[in-house]
Amino acid sequence: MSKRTFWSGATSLLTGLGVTFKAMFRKKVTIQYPHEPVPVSENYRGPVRLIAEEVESEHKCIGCLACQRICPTHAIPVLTVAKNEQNKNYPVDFVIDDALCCYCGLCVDVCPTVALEHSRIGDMAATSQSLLRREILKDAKVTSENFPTRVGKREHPHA
Amino acid sequence: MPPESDVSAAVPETPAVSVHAELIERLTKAGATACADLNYAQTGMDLDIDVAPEKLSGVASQLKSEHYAFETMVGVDRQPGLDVLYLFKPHAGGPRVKLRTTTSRETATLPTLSSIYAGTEWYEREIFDMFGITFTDHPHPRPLLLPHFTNFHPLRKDFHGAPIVIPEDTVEIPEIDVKEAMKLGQSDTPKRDFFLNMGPQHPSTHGVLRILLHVEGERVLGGRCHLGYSHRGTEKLAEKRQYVQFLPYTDRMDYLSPVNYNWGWAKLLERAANVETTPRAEVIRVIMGELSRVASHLVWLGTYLLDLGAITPFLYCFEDREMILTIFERVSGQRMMTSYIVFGGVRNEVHSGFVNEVRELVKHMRKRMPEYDTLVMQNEIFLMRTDKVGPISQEQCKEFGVSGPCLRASGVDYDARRDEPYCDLYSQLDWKVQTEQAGDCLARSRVRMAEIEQSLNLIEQALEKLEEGPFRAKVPKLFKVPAGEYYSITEGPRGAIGWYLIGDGSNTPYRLKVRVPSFANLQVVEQLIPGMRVADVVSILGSLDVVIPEIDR
Amino acid sequence: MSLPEILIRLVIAFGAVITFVTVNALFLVWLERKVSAVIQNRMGPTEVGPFGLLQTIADALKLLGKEMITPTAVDRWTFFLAPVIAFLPAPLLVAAIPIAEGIGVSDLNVGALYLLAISNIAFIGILMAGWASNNKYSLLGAVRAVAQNVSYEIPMLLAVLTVILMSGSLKLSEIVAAQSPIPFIVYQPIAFVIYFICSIAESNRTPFDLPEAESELVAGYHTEFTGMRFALFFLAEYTQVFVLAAIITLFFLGGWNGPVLPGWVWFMLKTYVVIFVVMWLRWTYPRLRSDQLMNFNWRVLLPVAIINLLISTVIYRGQF
Repeated sequence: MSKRTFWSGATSLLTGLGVTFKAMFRKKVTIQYPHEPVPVSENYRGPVRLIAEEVESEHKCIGCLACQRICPTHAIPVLTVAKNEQNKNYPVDFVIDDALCCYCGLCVDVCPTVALEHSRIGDMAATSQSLLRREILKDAKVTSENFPTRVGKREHPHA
Repeated sequence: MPPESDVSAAVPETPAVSVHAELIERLTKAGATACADLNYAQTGMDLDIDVAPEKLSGVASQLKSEHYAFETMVGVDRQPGLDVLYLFKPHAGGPRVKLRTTTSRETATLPTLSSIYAGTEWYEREIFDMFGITFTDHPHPRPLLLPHFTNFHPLRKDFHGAPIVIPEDTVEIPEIDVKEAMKLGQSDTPKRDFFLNMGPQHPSTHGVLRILLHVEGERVLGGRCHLGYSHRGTEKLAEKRQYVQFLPYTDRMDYLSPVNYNWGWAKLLERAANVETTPRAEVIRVIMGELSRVASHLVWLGTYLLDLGAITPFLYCFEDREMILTIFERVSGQRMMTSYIVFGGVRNEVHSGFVNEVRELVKHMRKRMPEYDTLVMQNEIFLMRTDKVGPISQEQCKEFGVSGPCLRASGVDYDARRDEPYCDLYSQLDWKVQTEQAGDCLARSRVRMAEIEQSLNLIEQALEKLEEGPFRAKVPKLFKVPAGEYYSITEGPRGAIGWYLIGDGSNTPYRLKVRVPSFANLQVVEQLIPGMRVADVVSILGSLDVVIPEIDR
Repeated sequence: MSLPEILIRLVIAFGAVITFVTVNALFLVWLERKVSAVIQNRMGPTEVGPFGLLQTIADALKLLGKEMITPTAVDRWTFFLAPVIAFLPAPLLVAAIPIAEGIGVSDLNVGALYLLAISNIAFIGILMAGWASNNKYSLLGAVRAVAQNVSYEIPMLLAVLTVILMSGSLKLSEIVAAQSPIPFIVYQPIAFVIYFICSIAESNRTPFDLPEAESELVAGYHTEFTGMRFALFFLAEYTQVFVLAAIITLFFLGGWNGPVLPGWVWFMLKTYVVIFVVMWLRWTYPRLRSDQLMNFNWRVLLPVAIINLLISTVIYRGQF
């Protein structure tokens, strides 16, 4: 450790001032939310939704309940399954509670038919906890403003 | 179904077979009953030793005389007995030692080791909380994590949840505090001393920590840490979650370096299941891990200066950290709770701009480091506040199990990246372990700043080694780990993170113990603060870089 | 002067002082926030008013609307009077500072003495605040503040003494007149530095802000004061910053001397540049520990101030 003298101490104080002075002329990094939106990336793990390959087409959920079992925080409180005419399972109610969800993506990973994906909603706020329980089946068929269904080729996000 | 104990097939005397024959001989003379070699690569330990409770202090004294540092204690409910495992780390070369002792459920008593290794004090309190094992002659037999009026022991296997009922007369708490605090330093001039609470809500205790200080004027006579305000029962939850499901919990233990905790969990599972990860994943892991280390050290720097009174470096550090978190978000999808490093590799491919962005970041940080040096590390006032304040001796490091920059600042050359090789890439890259000799706040600060530089070097070199290939080994979606006991250490920014796993062949762990570095680092504070001023307590706490939620788990 | 005239002058003077104190505090809070933002690479207040200039008014309105909580175990009269006494010197001092040749509320014959003496009343208010709060943190903060303020008065006085020596008068306008054309900073650089450091210590700002160290004592001696009471402490602190900067301008930087621009513009310019430097220092340095603070004062500042005084008497004897 170099010896500390009075002069080294005094000069260190002045050079420190120089650093803050130079900083005054740097570009400001503030993002003025809500006037400017906060950017989110392609991979962002936002609230989970079902994927539909085309507008008004069916989702791919087969009601296997794997996502409900794997969720560590039990954020899928309701997932009722019924059998259709071809004797295949399909979901009747599918509710995800965004207040409990920790956005880990385990449900997306474990789904055997790649029916779930993360949306890119970066800012979610609600005035009460019950408003954060989303029925995601209705988002799948109809493109809603809050959770626009991504239309496009189905691809596993972690492929 | 409780798993079989490891030592059941051990041979009592193995002088000719074991590699560590002499050590075994000495320990058997001191009282050990059964010794067995273990496979380090899989179990993380070299030597497994059975000890009867009466001979425990004998064996521990023998280990202490051979310069073994205490690392952690694990309590296990073997149904019907209760086991306690003591893990020791050699400071002077030698095998890693695991002591095992048993007590029955009815008696549930063991002798304390806190007179030999002072660091066992808090671990014994935690085991008392969680398992109900009383340690005789313990200096402060008080619960550590749970409130003092809980009447159950959560980590026992017959506990399946119970509400904590707050009794009517909880005004009793201050009584306990004062009585306990009276055991603190004696004042020469009674009636001039008082108790000051650096309470759970305090701007500079790095989480919810309460330190009860016995103060006389500006001088501190003694202090006691009170923990448990952010206890979330992670270890009990681990027993109810599949290995896959536990991933988000690892992020949230130490939220300032979640990538390193993900890595530790992944490495533990890979060791246990004997799975190799892919070369590309290794490189990505190193880059992400070192970025996380830089981000964590930036938080340390900013908050430390904030505690000392300078607000501006905090803003600069967080500006730099913003860039790192943006990269994390683009790679994994989340800024902090990345859950990115998983069993077998990493979770998804890095985004297309990854290499360029990381290069830009390294360039930016290299320009910033001289600024931090001028503004902070050379600043006379900073030097006055940190020089010769709160020195930790090497003896204390051994007794408490201090690790990480705090250990390296006291002159001990130990870094789990080099000494417990959990990633081959580190041995191929050109970097040095940073040490200092003084052991005071300034030395710890210098070690961390130097570590940021080394991390930048590592990242640059690792970027060169990034090649095409799969990013994850082929592993089943819902994997299991074979039965057995495994221990794995990774180097986080705060120190060595130890993971002790007992698997019973099912898809949930039988027992998971996370050995967090801040637990041992914070415990030293009670020995450091007598004689200091109140302002120095803040300085020491800041330089230890503890995160309370990881202590509380 | 007849009674109505005196009364009218009194009312105008009172109004002017209170207006100035308030507007100055509002402006300084905004300046502090903007300066800190600029140093820290961010924007300060921008939403309320152009450049956020009305932000402080919004904050003041908010403070007025807050509940003034009085903890039950406080020493009632001391608790009520503490902010008042802490604020009391502020308008008194502002009243004694002339801002230009002939412009000012009053220009006392013993102006310098008055300024130095009255500013000491404030720390009685701090001590009362710390004691009355019935709170260990506040008491610690108040004790530190008193020790610091009292100790740093002495080098301050010695530094000012050299200036008074050189100008031969306690009257502020004569001190400024003695500085044309060359301000006293040229003749007394050491005294300037000493006075500058002491003024930062007197106003409890970083690096001497241990009494209100946020990260250690939550808020020090004004922890328990809420609403308007807190606003009074705040006003007192920022007015003191202004007064000390004004004294530096008057004693060392030539007051209202300067070409082209009118005197009061120069005065204000110089004062606010000094305030800007004080703020710049605040946002750059960590804080000193209490014993280091006291050591610095008694072992460094005081001997240097004494030696400076002795040498000045020898060198400048009879020159002014």
